[in-house]
Amino acid sequence: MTRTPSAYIVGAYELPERFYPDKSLAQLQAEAALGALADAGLTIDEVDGFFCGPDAPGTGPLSIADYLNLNLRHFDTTNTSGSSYTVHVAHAAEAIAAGKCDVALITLAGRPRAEGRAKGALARTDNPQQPDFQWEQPYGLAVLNVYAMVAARHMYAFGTTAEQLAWVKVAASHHAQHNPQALLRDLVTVEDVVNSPLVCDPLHRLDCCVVTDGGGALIVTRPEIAKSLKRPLVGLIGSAETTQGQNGGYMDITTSGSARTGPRALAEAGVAIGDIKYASLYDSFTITVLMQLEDLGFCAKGEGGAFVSDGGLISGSGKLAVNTDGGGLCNNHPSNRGGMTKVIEAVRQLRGEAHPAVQVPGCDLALVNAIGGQLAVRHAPATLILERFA
Amino acid sequence: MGISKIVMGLDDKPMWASIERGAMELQKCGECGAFRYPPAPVCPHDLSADAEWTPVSGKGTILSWVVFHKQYFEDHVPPYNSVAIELEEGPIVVSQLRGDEPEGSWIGQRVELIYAEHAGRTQHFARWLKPEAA
Repeated sequence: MTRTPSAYIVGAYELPERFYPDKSLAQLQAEAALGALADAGLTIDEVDGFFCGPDAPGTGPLSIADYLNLNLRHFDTTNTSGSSYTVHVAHAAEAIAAGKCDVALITLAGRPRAEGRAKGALARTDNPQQPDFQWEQPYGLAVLNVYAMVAARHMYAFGTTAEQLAWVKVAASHHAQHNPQALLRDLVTVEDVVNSPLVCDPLHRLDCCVVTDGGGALIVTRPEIAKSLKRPLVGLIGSAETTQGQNGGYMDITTSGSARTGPRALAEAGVAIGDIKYASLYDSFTITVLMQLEDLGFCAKGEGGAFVSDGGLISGSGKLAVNTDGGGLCNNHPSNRGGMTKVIEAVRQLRGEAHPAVQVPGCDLALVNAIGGQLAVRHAPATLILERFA
Repeated sequence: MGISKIVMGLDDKPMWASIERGAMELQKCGECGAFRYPPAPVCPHDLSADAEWTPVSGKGTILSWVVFHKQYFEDHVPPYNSVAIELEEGPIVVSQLRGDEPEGSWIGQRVELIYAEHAGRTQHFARWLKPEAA
């Protein structure tokens, strides 16, 4: 017996390009918003709640609310890095349930490629006064260091291999070949991944997600409005968020906070992990997917390597269809923030609107999990359980 | 590209001064006795502000390690490593192994902190304690 949703995702839109040299950030935000509204069959005048991250230019929601001439009753600019937009879906549902807004718009857009600031491949530029940055700053560490440290420890503790991690990328490429908008559409093999250059041993170039311009938007609304729109009904039936950090130097680097958000979201939804037909898992790096599979309970801790091997994540033939748009590893990682595209592909699956080659038959229950920030040292996992209603 | 930076907030000054002297001190909680890292005004376990800067042995075990093959900073030319060390006193710190390197995986190997100049500042590095010396 699943929960009756207090809110539904009725609009989902992913900007089509992966490089935007000639469009401003504000225009991309606007095009994402209008795309999601058109998908829902609603107009900008009906939006009374706005949710955005720091990718939106200006102070919090102010500039984009002004640019789009929004008439707002509610806004929320919670920033947990890449998981922000996943968090925003839950917060929008909460605000709707509390009567604070009726139609919530969630946007993401960025153009790191056009602006030459592909953060994932460069030294961090975050505030060095941030106290937890003692970890990274003096020792030549970049974003992927902590992910590589997690991978190295996972390999040591559980016997996970580079070849097993490579299977996560191989599955993403199998899906991306069917996505004409994906940045990387070529099929790759395990050998391709492990023979690609080491960036930060044990992670190779093909263990890392792409850097793309673009973005997307979502529309979340109350049941009465959702049911009037004659669109497939995708309801939020469970959600959970948390943070996990260094704990004063005593952290478990091979367990993420998803180990807490997954069970809580599933319990709220009233479903079991085995009921999930499709999963969008934040794939900043291959190891990130492995960790989430274990921490969410799709497999036991340490068995992620075996779970993903031999095409375990390929839709149709594998154990669990994961990231059927090609994910951040092959399709899109707009503005270095993957939480938005994770929700969008889950909505496509639940509507039956994914590419036929990757559509999960009878997909009525999906899980979205995003890891914002960085594993081990500071991250905010957010889990959503979404259900298709007739 | 830029030079890697240290983090020097108000809470960090005593630690960096101790590193400058070649003997790192961390805060030891006056309430529960736990050492903490990075420096912070209160203990993350009991929120006690009572703490004493206390020298650490500098000895620990490698929890994880990576080797960079891509350059991100002017002062770190690849290949360079970083290691997460679980100190005998408890906290996990990050450093860089210098000198002899273990064969195979470095995880579980014993190390001790050494101190050296880098990019115009003193910081700690790690030296491998070969099994016969550990």
